[in-house]
Amino acid sequence: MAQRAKILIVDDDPDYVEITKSILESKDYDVETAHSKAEAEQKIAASKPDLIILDIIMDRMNDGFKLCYQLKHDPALRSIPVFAISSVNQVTGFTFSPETDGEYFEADDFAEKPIKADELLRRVENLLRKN
Amino acid sequence: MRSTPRILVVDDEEIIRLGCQRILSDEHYEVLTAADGRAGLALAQEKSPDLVLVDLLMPEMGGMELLEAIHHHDKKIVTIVITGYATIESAVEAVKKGAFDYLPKPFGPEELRAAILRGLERRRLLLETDRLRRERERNLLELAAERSRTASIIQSMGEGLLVVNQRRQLVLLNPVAQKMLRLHDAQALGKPIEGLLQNKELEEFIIGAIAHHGNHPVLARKELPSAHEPNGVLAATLSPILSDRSEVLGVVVVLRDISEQKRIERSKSDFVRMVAHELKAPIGAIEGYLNLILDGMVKDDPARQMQIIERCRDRAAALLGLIRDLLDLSAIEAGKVAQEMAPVEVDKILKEVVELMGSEASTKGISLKLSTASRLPKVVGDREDLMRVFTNLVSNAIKYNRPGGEVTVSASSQDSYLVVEVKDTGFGIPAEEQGRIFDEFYRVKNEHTRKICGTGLGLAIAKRIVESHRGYIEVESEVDRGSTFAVHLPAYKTT
Repeated sequence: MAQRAKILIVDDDPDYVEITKSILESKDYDVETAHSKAEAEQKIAASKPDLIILDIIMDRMNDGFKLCYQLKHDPALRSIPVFAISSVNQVTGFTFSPETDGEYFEADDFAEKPIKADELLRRVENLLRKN
Repeated sequence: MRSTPRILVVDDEEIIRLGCQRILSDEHYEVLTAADGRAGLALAQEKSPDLVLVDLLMPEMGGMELLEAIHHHDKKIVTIVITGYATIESAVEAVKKGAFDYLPKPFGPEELRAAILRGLERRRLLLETDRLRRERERNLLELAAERSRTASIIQSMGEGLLVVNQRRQLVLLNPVAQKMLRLHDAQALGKPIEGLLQNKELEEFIIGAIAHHGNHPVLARKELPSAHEPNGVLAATLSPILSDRSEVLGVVVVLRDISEQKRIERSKSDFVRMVAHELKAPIGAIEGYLNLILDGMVKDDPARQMQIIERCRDRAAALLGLIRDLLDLSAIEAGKVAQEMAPVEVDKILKEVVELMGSEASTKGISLKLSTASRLPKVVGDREDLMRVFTNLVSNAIKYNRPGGEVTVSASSQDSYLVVEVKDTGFGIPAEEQGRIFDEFYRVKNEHTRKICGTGLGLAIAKRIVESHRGYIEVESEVDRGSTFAVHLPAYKTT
């Protein structure tokens, strides 16, 4: 039997975490959650996930960017696909994206909140398949 | 000159006076006569004739002396010498004394009429010349005053003003423009603007307008970044100066510093974006939860469904709270605050607040104490508004506290202020965030606050209310030790 893919949701909004977790669990993914950058770092170090769903604005405006940068500049962790899902563009008025922000924001995929359940599942599946 | 010229005949010979009078009256001149120099001078001074016939040899005052006196009185009175003792010397002397003509006696009516006509023509020219001179002087004075007025207006304008000629040289620069562009007129005037204004966009804008031929704009406006102020914005309005043949002779540029206006626009736009985001978050959560149920993702778990519905209710309640706060904030911004001002006893308000919040505190196992000094001064305030401020502070002190923690509300008189302190033993606020906690939507985010609901507007509203009561609010806080919010309100002085 194939091993279930482990997904880590990193977001400080408990409701968003709860909803995303329920959607992913409905497709039998093994879901872990972290509510801050520090908690995510601990959980990634303890057991490497197959995919990270990452919010950008958490305790600090750029926590998600920082964590993404750390992951993508760590040879041991850079292979983990990062799916950034955030309201950062709506809140700041900027237009961040992996295409325009290069090395600073090397997420493998990026979506604006809110994301529909089927769209979330489709893109998660794509990232896992690529990996 | 008068429509009926006035002629004065000064001669001691009655026959000459009468003869001249008859001839000249027939010509419709007004004729005055005098029998000697003194009487003639008095009449000349009083009546200002256009022309005077002066005999040379007269008692009392001779003709030469009279000539001199008349010209001293008014150079524009034309004088003609009439004499029976004509000599070259006297003629030369008379001319030197200002006589226009010299008519030897005896003379006939025709000679007299011709001399008078020439003299009056001379008089007309003298008056016309004088009128033109005075007009020119008046115009020069007006021009000088106009220039001075225009210069004063330009110098004291609130906007920056530049004038650039067709050769792209700066020809005028007022003090505001000097300040905006960091230029000194002494060094800048007459110089080409390329590189001089240190604002490439502005230089190109002006040069483009000067170079433009044909359908040049009547007015062009552009917003440009200021080269000297970070985030500074200048609005340049450019009007071409056109010749009669519609050629561009140069441009007038009016510069306005709109940095503050732009800053306010940015703030408003940031605020609207934040409001949209804050409203979207709970609705997004509610929609997400409802979709979990509708998509059948929790269909086999009734307890979980109930949890989801309860969470939707909580988020909806929080959303209503946020909308209420936004409406309050809007009302405060519109000046609808502190409207029912009256002397109020703050200790009574605090007692009410503590009673109101008692159950919330005990639910969390927090002890809530009130300690007010005796004989506190009243403050002039809106009771409802002040109630709201203290309720918000006490509610925060409970929410951001630990189970078993303490909240102490105290009031005392300090100098001319009544000071209310709300002290808690909660999580505290990091030093670097203390300056921002009164900003709209700013919430300290950490592991302690993550699950605490709040709109992020309570303290912003409290601060505005306190300030509308001419007071101020401040915070002292230490992480893990707790926070103290102090509200200072001017004490009501009874006279």
